Amino acid sequence: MSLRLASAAALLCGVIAAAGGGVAFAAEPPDEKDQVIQKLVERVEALERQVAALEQARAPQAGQAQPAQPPPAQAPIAAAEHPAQQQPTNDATDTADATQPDNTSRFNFHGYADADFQRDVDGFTKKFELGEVDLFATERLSSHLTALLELAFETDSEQLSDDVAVNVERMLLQYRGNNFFNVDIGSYRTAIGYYSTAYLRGAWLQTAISRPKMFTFEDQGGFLPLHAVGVSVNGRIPSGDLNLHYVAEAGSSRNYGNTAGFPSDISFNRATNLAIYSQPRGIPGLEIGFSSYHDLFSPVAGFALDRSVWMVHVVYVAGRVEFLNEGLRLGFGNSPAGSATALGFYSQIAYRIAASWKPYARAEYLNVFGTGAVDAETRIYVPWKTVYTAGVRDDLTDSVALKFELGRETDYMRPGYITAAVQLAFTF
Amino acid sequence: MAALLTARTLHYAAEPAAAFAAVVHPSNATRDLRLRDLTSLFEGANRQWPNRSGVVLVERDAGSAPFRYLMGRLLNTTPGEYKRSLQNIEYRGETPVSIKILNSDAAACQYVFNVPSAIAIVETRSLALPACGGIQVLRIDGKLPSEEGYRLK
Repeated sequence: MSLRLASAAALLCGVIAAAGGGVAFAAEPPDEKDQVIQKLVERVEALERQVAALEQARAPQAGQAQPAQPPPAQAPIAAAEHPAQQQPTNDATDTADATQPDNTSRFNFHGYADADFQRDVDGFTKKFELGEVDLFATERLSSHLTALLELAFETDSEQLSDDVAVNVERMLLQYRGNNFFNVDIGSYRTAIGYYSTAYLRGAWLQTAISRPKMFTFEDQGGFLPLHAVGVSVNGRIPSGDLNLHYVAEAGSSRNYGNTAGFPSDISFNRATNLAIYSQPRGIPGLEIGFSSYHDLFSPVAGFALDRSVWMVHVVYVAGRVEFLNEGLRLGFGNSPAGSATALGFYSQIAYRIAASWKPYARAEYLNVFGTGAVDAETRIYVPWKTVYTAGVRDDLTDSVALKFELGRETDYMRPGYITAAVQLAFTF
Repeated sequence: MAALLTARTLHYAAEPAAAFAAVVHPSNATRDLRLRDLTSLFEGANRQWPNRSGVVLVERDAGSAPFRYLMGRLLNTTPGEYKRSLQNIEYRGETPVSIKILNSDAAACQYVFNVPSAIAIVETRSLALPACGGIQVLRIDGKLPSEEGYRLK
């Protein structure tokens, strides 16, 4: 390009010089003609330098990505690099993370941990304790396949120095077909409601110290089946600005590990779940959805109850505001021993003030009613009735949060009691 | 503590007078974005262009005016909360958000020029830099930075 331009400019210079010479030769003395030619030559040289400089500025460096082609239909996805994890650079030619082939292996890792002081959180104790260490990793295996593994080291239930429970929270092979069809195979968290899918583990991720009581983990006395092993299909539903999504799950529920109330039968009963939710494009941050879960629940060997969990949620998380609302209907039935129904909800609001303080408050309610022995046992299994919680989260850094929380709980089994907790949660 | 709080508050206050531009590769078919769609891209809620190519967010370093504008005005968040929301997307098992952080507008423009699916927010005065000459400035809600009513200010 520069050669062509230079040649054209030289030719133009020659033509102009010749024409000028033809016209003015007789009138101008030879030294003036030479001056004109000299000026034109200088001008051509200046233009050549400009062209060279422009070409150099636009030309990719060796090994640099070529931008000439339009974006491919399936452009490669770069690794998630978060502001606090990535050092700013001035090297705009380092495009490897965004231009490497789709099938390039890419490993992402996040860890979460917390240390706490708790007073009467379980109604009885006052202690410092480690929370849980949650290790989350994904590895892209190909353009459509990703492996996901999440391990939780539950030091909060540690009894002896070598007694730390290791929980495989999730172990999934994810097939990412397109926006409308994706498949997760393995151990997944059930898409029941909102909170459990947004904040399964990792104290740093959630605003509050405590989870909503209804989302207590199965191995800590929770009554919702938050985990299952099987197949989960999910994706978008063509719905315009309504932006609907679906999750359909079929697997075996994990009825083991429940240490509260019923002795549990270590069985893997079939479980199905369907969740549909909308994230309207017109109101960023709003999510409205419901889920319907059904399985067999075996409190004791040889005895199974139909369990159904219906949940609805309206959630708004945008800017400074976090407003979470979920309603629950839990049913145990189809047994000569009676039936039971639990109705409950929680509502949590948080609002960031200043740069890093986020006060929050939450109210929860659950009521159980029914017939026969199932009703009576369900009240033991799901003893709490109301929980009021308030606290504040202070993000000390981008990766460390300090939280304070007070609460009051009432249940069927004992008088109401006050809880308090302080937590230092961080990610790494 | 109060001084620390004030410092943190002021640090991420938005720049009052500067104007900013969203820039993409010239081959990107998108020419006009609604402000909420731009927000959605940088929040990570939308991680694909209409042609399904993955969006690569080009952000400036933490002390820069474009980054402060991004946090304080466009997203109304803090770096800590931003990090939390991005990790939350990944934690939910969804496709991670792709972010490249560069420490000058020229480098951001150059990166956008090199990566067809990238988008950056730079100061409008940086558009005169040679490095920003070969990229496409997006209209926001139908307006260019030079037009009355332009919203990235």
